[in-house]
Amino acid sequence: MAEKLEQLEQHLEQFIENTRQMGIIVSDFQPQGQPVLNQKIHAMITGMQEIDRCKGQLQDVQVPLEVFEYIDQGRNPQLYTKDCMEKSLAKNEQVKGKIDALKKFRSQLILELDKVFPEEIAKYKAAREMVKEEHS
Amino acid sequence: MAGDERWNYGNMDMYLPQNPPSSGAISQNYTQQTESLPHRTDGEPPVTQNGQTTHEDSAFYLLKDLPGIPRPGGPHHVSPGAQGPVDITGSVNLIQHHGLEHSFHKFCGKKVKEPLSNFLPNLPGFIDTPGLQDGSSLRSLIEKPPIVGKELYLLSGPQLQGFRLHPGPIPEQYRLLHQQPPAKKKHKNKKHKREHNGGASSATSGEKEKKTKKQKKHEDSEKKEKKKKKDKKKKKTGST
Repeated sequence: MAEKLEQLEQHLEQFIENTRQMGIIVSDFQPQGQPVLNQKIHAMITGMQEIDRCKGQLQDVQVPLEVFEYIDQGRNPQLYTKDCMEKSLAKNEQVKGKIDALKKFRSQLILELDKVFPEEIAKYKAAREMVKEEHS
Repeated sequence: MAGDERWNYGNMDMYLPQNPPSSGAISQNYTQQTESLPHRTDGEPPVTQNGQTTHEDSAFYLLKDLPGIPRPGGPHHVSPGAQGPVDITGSVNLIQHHGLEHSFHKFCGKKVKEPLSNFLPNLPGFIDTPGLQDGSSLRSLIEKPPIVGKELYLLSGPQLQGFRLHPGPIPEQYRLLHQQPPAKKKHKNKKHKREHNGGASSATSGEKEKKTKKQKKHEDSEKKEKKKKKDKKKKKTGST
């Protein structure tokens, strides 16, 4: 996959460079530059053909749409990756906090219920042990 | 006990007959009442004929997956929350779990530069400007996709005749497209310059320090000589 992406990247860079050179030729055109321009036009078409061939190998590559917003704003797309990582870490910490709080609540609740309903809690604990054995 | 207050002992009155008979008759009536309760299979608490719940079988009516309690959809039905313990939860460091520590340190540990040109340094032209300004945004490409699927053929000789251009420069409004952003000076040169300047300044400062030290020494020696002369004069005047 990385090789295919590198190949596509090379084709694109060559295409862009070719286009840039065409722009320089055209910006101050001289008659002796016509054959060179024709050659550049040919190179542009072959470049487009090569890029078109690459698309078949990259059908399964998925790109999140949010990255396009970063690029359209002229921002580094790696910032999107960084933002995703930071958000997932923050969410992970948030959920861990909730799980820890609920675990503490559960243990406290069973403790207090055991004082009030000892028989029922004993039955409940026995039933939970049976369920655990079944699932394991 | 505190829990006794939760139970509504007023409901127990329905098991008591209006004319108090012997104790045996009371227990028989109680058992008859419980046996006539309809056995519910939908997980809801068992309800008496009067529509009030009992606590005899309702202790675990919320726990549908426990043995001895019929499941609402049948014996093979698995309720959504009864799939057993889940190994991966939010209590685990998911970044570590998925092996993304290296990526995390790469993107979040170091400072990622803001402009797009830092990600694509080899691209010519101004790429840090927003795409909406010149109509080159990727969003517009998604909203209005170009015509695709046609074959690309090389141009023939007569077709290339259409690209014959007139000599001369292009109008000024189109010249800006080929302007390049100012080349970023390498920091190494600046560093070298700074080091060189710093070295030179340090050398001059060292020289200055040497000079000041020399001057001080010279001044000190002069002062000493002056003192000696004064002392000699005093002695001469004192002797005479």
